[in-house]
Amino acid sequence: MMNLLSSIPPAFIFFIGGILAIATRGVVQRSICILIPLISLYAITTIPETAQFWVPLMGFKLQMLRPDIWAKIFGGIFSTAAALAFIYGAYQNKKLEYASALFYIGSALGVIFAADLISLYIYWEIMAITSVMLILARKTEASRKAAMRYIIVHVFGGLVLLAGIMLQIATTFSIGFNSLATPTPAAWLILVGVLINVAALPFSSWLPDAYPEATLFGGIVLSTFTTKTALFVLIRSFAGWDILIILGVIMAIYGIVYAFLENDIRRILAYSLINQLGFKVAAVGVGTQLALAGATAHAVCGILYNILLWMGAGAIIHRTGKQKLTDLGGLYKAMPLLTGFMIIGGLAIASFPLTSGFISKPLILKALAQKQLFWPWILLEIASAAAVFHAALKLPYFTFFGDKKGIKPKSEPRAMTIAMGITALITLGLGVAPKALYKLLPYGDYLLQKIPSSFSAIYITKFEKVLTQTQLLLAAALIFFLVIPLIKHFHKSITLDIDWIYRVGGKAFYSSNKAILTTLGEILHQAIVINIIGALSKFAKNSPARILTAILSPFWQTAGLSNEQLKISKKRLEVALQNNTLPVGLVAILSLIFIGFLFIF
Amino acid sequence: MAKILGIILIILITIEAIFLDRHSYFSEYSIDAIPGFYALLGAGAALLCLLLSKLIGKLLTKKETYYDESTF
Repeated sequence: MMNLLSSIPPAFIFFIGGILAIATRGVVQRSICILIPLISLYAITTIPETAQFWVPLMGFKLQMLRPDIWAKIFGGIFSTAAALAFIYGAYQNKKLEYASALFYIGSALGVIFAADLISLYIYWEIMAITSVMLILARKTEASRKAAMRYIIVHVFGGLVLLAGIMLQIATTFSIGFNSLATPTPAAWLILVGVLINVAALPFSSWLPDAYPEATLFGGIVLSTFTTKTALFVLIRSFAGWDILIILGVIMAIYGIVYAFLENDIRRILAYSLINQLGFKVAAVGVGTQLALAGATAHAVCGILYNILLWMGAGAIIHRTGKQKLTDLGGLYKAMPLLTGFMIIGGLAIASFPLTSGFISKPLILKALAQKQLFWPWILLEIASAAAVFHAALKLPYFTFFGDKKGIKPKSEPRAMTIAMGITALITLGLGVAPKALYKLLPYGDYLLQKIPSSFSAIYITKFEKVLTQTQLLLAAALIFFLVIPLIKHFHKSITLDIDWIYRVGGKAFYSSNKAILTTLGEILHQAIVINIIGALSKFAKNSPARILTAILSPFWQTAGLSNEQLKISKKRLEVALQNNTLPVGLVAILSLIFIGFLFIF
Repeated sequence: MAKILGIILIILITIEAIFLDRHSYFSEYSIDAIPGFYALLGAGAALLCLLLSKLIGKLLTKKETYYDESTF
């Protein structure tokens, strides 16, 4: 059994779990959902690096198991996050939602462990399809529409990726999923396909559009896998691509500004995700050992504190039924624990000392500084300082403090509290003693040599970073508290994002197409149906009489009919032809002549 | 709250200026070697992002029902 576990791709463990989850119900199903990620975590930690698993397909060898150090760290954190999410989800019975979540997480692991582009693409598409279920399962009109937009964007992204992969295979004759160092057209297409999933500008708006409409459980799961899987592909294939530094900086700043403007708590967290992804994408662009180790560390820590915040947001929505800051306020007395969890998560986003953000984000900033990239460095420091605004201050401040709105919250399901408690403890634990994480990272030895990693080194003997980071964040917080009395209240509003282009633009495109095509249709109707067909039918109706009169008039004239009589004869013939009332003898003669003609020619 | 934060900041900057021999990541004369640079950066960053949000808010903020008539 143990041998079997470490010889099949972890994706299969989740797929088997997904099938079991469909077949079972109640407590059994929920236990399976929690057990499967734990089994997968065990399998990933024990799997030897030489393990292989391949499937033949159309003459290709699909290598679905490549358990190197990158795959292991991402696979490990994915499994951990899945286990925590399912512990949280144990408060409710959701059969199909949990089954599709298992398939979704499984296919994300499939991408992580894939060693060839074809299996990468297959898993990529399964991810898109299964993840949309988590949005649809909210069963509201808004979520249905958001799910439609979500799937359209991802189908488009998948097609771009597919085009890139096919071009890559056609030009290199290799299906290997490796580093793409040269910027060929194939590499660019693959990059665009991946950037859509990592929510890089200008392909970012699907994330804050769809994730906040997902179910409470779905939001937690979604916030982890799609974007981090895409980040993994960037790390594996596009390390050192300069454009990623620029994109990362833009994402970080954009995320901050939009998160600050938002009113919906989960939408704030969605923009915050883009902000944090910006740091990681920029790190991949730098591409040095420290940068890539930093991106991986930040992904691990980010996954944990993000699910903590999404869990907290879910708990707030579950308990109060409200999700907008303008409707919330003064809840800290009713929810002391939840307040604590949300503040821990928020501080971690801002990378405050003693949280996991503090031992991961500064690695990325240091990597930028090491490469003497002054402007990207200072812009990311700015984004890092301003991150304290939305996550650590605005969200907790307006939810738990501020005006009381007379809300009487429900009690918190124990499953939620346990899951958030564990996640918060890990977040703090990593911040206090990051050595355990650094050891598991790629280039971990380098990191342990160059970066202080024990509690005493970070916080006592080499406290410089603690001091500067605290200054940075407290100064930003000071501005927040100076400005807050001026802002007083946030308006109930939304801020237009890039999705406006396809939401309003798409509608305009549709109606303009409708107008153009309808007019074109009318013109063609007039021209073809009325004019040409009309003329044809007139011709078919009148021509026999015309031809006959043309033939008969010389005879009539020689018979000495007057003009008056000629007209009457013509009219009579016409009527007789149109009504099919020609004398039988005449018809018979005409037929004979006609047959005679046929016979002669 | 603002007062407390201000006092802590002044203490932190003083500690930095007196006890710490901090080096710039970049050149010797780079601005990030100045004591209190990070506090200034933090405040500047906060103000900058506030202004940017204000600007984007002015330009792009709509009523919550903006997209509701949309069928897509």
